[in-house]
Amino acid sequence: MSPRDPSGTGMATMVQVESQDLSALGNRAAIAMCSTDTSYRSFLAACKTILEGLHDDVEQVRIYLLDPVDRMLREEAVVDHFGGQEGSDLIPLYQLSEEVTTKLVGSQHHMGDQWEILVPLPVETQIAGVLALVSYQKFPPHLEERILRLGRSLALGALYVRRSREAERSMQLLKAVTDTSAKLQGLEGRTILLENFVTTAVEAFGFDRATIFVLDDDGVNVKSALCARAGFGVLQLPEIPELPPLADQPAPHPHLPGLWIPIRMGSRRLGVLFVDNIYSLEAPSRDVLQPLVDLASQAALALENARLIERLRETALRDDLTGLYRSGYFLERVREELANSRRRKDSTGLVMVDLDHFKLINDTYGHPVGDEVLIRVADRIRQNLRVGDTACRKGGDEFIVLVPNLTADQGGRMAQRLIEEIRASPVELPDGRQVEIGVSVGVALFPIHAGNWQDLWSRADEALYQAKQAGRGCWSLWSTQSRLSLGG
Amino acid sequence: MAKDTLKVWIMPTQVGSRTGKLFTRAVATFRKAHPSLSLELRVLPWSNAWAELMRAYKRGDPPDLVQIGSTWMGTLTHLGHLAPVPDGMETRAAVAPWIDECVQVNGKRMALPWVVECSGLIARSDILDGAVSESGLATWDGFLSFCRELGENANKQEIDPRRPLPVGITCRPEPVTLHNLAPWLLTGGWKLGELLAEENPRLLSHPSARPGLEYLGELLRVNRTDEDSGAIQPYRLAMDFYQEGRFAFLIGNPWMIVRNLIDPTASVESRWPVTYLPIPAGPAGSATRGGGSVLAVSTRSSHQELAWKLARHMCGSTFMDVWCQSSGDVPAHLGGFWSRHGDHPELQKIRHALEAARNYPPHPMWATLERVLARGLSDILWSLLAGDSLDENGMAIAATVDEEIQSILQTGWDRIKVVP
Repeated sequence: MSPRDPSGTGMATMVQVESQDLSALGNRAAIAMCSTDTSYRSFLAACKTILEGLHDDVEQVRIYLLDPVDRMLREEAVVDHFGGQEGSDLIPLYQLSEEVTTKLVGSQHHMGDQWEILVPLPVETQIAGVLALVSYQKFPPHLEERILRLGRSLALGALYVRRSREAERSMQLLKAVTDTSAKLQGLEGRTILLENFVTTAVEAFGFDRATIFVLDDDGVNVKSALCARAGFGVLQLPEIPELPPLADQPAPHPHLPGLWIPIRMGSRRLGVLFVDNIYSLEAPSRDVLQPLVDLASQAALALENARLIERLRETALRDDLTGLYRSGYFLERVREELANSRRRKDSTGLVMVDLDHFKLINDTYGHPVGDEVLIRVADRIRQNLRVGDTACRKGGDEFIVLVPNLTADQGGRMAQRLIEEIRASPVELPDGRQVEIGVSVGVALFPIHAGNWQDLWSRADEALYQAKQAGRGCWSLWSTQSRLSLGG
Repeated sequence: MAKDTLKVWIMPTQVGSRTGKLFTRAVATFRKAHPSLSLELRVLPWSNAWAELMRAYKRGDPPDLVQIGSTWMGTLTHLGHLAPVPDGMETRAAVAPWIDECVQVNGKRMALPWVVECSGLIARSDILDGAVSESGLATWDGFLSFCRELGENANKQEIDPRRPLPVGITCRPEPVTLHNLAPWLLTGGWKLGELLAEENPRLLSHPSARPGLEYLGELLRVNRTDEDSGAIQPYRLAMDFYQEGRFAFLIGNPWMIVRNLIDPTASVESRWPVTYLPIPAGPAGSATRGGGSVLAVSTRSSHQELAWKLARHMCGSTFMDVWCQSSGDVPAHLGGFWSRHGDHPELQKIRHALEAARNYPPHPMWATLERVLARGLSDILWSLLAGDSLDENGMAIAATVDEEIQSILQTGWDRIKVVP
C-alpha cells in the first residue's frame, strides 16, 4: 500500500492534477524543452517541470519521442523524486494501443503496485511522442481530458526539438561530406585515400561497418576490398567475397540494414561502397542516402585523380622505348630489396645484360631496327621475370634485373636461359633477312659477393666485363676465388 | 580528493524504477572501501540495451563496466570491445559448467558470470492440485492433453482465475520469444549447434526444427491464443499470470518464484501459489536453454582495474544478498545465496534445470542471428496463430529466414581478426 493511497482503494484524489491548469503546465514544460540544447537535457527539463507541477500525484515522468524512420518511440528522459537521467527505453510503435496512436487518447495500465498512463503528444492526426506518468493511484477517468491537454501543449515542444534535431543532423551530414571531400582531394595514394573514405563512412555517418570494393578497369571484377569497423582500424579483406550483381543506382541490402552505393566516374564503374549496421541492426536514417551518394561522387573524383597520378608516376618511372623501369626507381628497389634480403637472411642477385655488337646493328640496319632489337631483348627479359623481380634499362643497350632470393646456381641458369632465348629471337627485317641478337650476362649476389648495393653493382659490372672478355654470348658469375666463373 | 568515475550500465529484468536505490545500497561497502570512486549508473531495458551499447561503442564512449547478455559474448569479443578478465581473479564455482564456458572466448575468460536463468514452465499449483501430477506434465503429450482440457473449460469472455486459459505465451518479434521457446524446439530435436557450424546453415527450415514448431502451433491452437494476447509485453504477460490469474501456466523465467521465496513481503507478489516445472520432454528428450548475464569491462575503459574490482564485488554475497531479493535474479556462483536458500524445493528444481540446461552455441555473429531468428520464429508463430498450417506458410517463412541468415553470414566478411 502506498503512503499516497491511505485507503488502499487505488482511487485517492489527485489534488494537483485536478486543480492545476495543465495546458499552462504543458506550455511551461514545452518552453523548458525549447530553452536548452536538443539533447535529452531538453526533455529532462520538461520532465522536471511536469513533476514539480504534479509533485504529490505523480511518482515518475518520462517522455518518449517517435523516430519516424524505424517507428520506434525512444525514451528521452526519465525523472522521479530521486532525480533524473537520460532515458533508454524503446517501444516499437506497434506495441502501443490504438487508443494512444490513432484515437489520441490516454491509455492506463497497472504495473505492479503502480499505475501508468501513456498520454499522446499529438501532431494533427498522428503522435510525435508519448508522455508517461506513473502514480501509486489510478488516474481517475474524469481527469483524462485535463491530462490530454498537458500532452497537447507538450507536443509543440517535442515537435520543435524533433525538427531542430533533423536540421542539426542535416548540417552534420553536410559538414561530414564537405570535410571528407576536402580531405580526400588532399590525399595522395589510393590506399590511404580508401582508408580515409571507409573510416569516414563509419565515423561521420554512424554505421557499424563500411566496405569499399575497388573494381578492375573492366568495372566488373573486384580488385581489392577494404573494410572499416566502428572503433577499429581498417582491414584489407584477404579474400574477396562473392558480391551480388552491382547496380548503377544505390540499392539496399535485401536482408540487412545496409546500402550499396556505386562509385562511378561518368559511365565507368570504379567501385562500390557498402555501408551497413550488421551488428546493431539499426535502420539507417533516410537522410543519409544523399550525403552518401555525394560522398561517393567525391570518392570517385579522388580515386580517378589517384589513378591518373599513379599512371603518370608509373609512366615517369618507365623507359619510353622498352617499358622497363628507369634506373632511378630501379636503384630504390635495389636498396629496398637488399634490406629485405638482410632480414630474410637469403641472397639477392643482380643480373646485368649487355647486347653484343649493338653499335654494329645500329650502323648496319639503322636506329629503327636497333630499337626493335632493344624491345625484343626487353620482352625476353620480361618473360623471364618471377613475381618480385624487377628489370630496368640502364641506358643504351644495357639491362639489369634484380632477383630476390637467388642462389648462384639459379643465377647461372637464368643467365643461360636469357642468352639462349634472346639468341632464338632474331628481329626480322622487311626484306625477310634476320638480325641475330647476342647478349653477354654478368651475375653477382648479395651478400655473398658484396655487402652493399654499390659494391654489388660493381661486381655485376665486373662479371659482365669478364663475360665480354671471354668472347661474348656467355655469362659469368663474380667469384672471390677465381674472381669469375664463366658459362655459356 | 579526485574522483575516479566508473560508468556502469545494467539491465535489470524486474527491478524497474527502484534500480538506482537498490544498486546504491548494494555497493555501499564497496564505495566505503573506495572513497575516491564516483559511480555513474545507467539502467537500460533489455529491449534497447544492445542498440544503446553499440551506439556507445561506436561513439567511443562505452561504459567501464557493463552487464551483458551471455549470448552477446561472442559478438562483443569479436568486435574487440571486451577486455579479458585479469589473471588471478578467482570467483566461486559456477552453478553449472556451461556458465563458465559462456565467458570463455578463444581460450580467454572475457567476463565474470553474474546471474543465470533458464526458461521453464511456471504453473499455478492451485490449478494443478488434484487435476494432474507434475509427472503427468513431464512429457509433451501429457502437457498438451492437460492444456486441451483447460482450454475447453476456460472462460473465453473475460479473465477468470478459476477458469484460466492454459498458457501465457508471447509471440513478439524479440529475443525473449526465442529464449523462451527455443527449449521447445530443442526438446523436439532441433540441432541448432550442429547446424550453426555449417557454412550455409538451414536453421528454422531444417527438418529437426519441425517437431518443435508443430508442437508450438498445436499449443497455440489449444490455448486459443489470439493476436492480442500473442503481442503482450513479457512483463504484462507475467502480471496477467501472477496478479490476474489469466493463465494456468507461464512460459518464462521463474524470477517471481525466487523473489517471493527470498522476500515474501515484496510489494509485487503472486496472488496464486506457483511452482517451477521443467519444459516437458519431447521426442528428443528433456532440455532447456540456459542463459543469463555476465559482467564485462570495456577495452576502452581507463579504469579497468577498478571496474574489475567492482565486478567482483557485484558477484559477491554482500551485493547479491541485496540484489537478488528485489530482482529475483539467481546468482551464477555457488555459496551465499545458494547456501542459504538452495535447499528450498523450488530452488532445487531450478538448480536441477540449470545444471541440465544448454546455452546457445558460441558464434561471433550470434547477437545478430538471435534477433533474426527471434523475428523469424515470431513470424512463424503469428502465421500459425492466424490459422495457417506449418506447411501452408510456416515452413516458407522458415526458409526465408534461413536465406536471410545465410546472406548475413556471407556478409560477415570482417569475421577475421582486425588489428586495432
